[in-house]
Amino acid sequence: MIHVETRDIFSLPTSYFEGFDIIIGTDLPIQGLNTLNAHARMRKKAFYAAASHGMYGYVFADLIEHTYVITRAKSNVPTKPGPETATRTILTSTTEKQNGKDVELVQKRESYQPLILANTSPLPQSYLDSTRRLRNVTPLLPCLRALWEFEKTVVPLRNLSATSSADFATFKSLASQMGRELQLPASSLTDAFISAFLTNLHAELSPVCAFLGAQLAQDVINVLGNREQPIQNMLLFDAEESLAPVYALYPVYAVPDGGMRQTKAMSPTVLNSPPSLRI
Amino acid sequence: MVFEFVHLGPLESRGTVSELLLIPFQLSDPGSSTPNISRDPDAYFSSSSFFLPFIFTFCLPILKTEDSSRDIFLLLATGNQSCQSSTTLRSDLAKAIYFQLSYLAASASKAERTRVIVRLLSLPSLRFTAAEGRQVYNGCERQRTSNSYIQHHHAKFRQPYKHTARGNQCRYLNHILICPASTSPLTLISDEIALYDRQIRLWGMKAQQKIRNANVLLVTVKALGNEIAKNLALAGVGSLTLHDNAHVTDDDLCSQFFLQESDIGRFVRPEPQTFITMT
Repeated sequence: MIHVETRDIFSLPTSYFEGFDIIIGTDLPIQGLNTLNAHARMRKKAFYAAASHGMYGYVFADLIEHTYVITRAKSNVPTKPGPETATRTILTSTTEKQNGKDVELVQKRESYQPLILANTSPLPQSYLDSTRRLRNVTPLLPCLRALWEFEKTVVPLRNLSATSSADFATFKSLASQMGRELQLPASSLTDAFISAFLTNLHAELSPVCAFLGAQLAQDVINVLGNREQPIQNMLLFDAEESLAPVYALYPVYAVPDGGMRQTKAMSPTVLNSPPSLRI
Repeated sequence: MVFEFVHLGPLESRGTVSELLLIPFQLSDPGSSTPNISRDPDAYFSSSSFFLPFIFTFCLPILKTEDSSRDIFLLLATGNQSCQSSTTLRSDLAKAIYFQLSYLAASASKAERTRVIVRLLSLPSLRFTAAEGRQVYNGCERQRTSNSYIQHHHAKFRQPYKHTARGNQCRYLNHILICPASTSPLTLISDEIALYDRQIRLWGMKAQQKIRNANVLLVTVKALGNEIAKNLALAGVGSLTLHDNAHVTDDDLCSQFFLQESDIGRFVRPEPQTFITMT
């Protein structure tokens, strides 16, 4: 069933959002995303934000608290319930036989943060501990944060102009400030990238949208069915590099189960496989 | 007549799929005798002795019609886990169906091009109750003896499915029968099972049910929103609300595949029937 809504979404009361299970905001400025996210949080609904900027794009997920089941081949090492990463907890694990093979059904829980908090959060500790990993973090992350900051503070109502040298300078200083906050090496954010990003802003390319739309829709479907690992919590897509890494941006204080943020005690499987996706 | 026996295998349909039969049944051990109808009605109505004749009365009118190049789909839902693992049981069932259908097809002149595709679907909690089984059985017997049986039912096949009884009742779709399990009601209708067959095999009936009942709000329909809406609608999301209060401009035509030149100036509003086949 398709419904069409043409009223101004930001003038609608929170009760309007009660009827939905999933709220997706695409190609919106940061204020719009934060408002939608707040409505979704108040009504305890899953929220997705996404946008495409030419060759670049992102998908952000705030599922509040999401429990799901993954089915995998039973390994020799038993799965122990308990915290797995800063955001993920293993709840239960059961084994059963399917088509003559031992499979393991692991129930996990991911806890999420709203966009407004994720935007000021550092990269996961496993990144901060490794210079090599920090060097490989896509410059798209500081650029997106700079874009949102730009929308909020500098010119709220005007689109950034790629040709204006004043805009470029403002944006560059914002982006490098964001890069420093994320503890990224200064060398990763080049002038060439910033200029490419600004040129691509608000452009729409079908293949990029197809990739992002597929990632988001797939995640929505998996979330509805409570299966598979969902996006936690920021997927960045760089079509120039054909890379779509997922970063878990989580505030330092908000570690679930009252524990300290883990530094060395992360499970080796998590450390060895950075959550990136090559296409 | 081409005969295929598919057990959760790849599906490709060359003809038009128009008929679907969903019968819950229990596979009985081929060596054992037929259950006694008066002593153990539960066992009888879920045994192959009961459901095989039922399949044949269903297939015969299709085989005899002039348009026999269609595929006949038999989707057998079984509550019996053993049919998944036991090849013997499966091949015995295949043989039984094949011989019966060949015999029937011999009397139907134009049946060479008809493909019969039998597929097994395992739904562990699906069972006939004695009362439901007897009702179907009586109905079949009555229809089989009727002279106008073939014309009557062939005409009925083309009628859209009207009555949907919810809950734990047995539902009849002319010949097409869905018998929900007594504990978890199966509210997907057979058309949907056929339409979403490949994805149901990927993520299961339960997930499809949840997707079907989901309400999704999509704010801003631009190129990325188009992709997301298309993907979600194709997956069978129950309700999709598209929000956009901007008017269509020239630029939107480049990247939005739902829009045409005549849409310029209108609200962004894809016509639902362009991409929705089921509501």
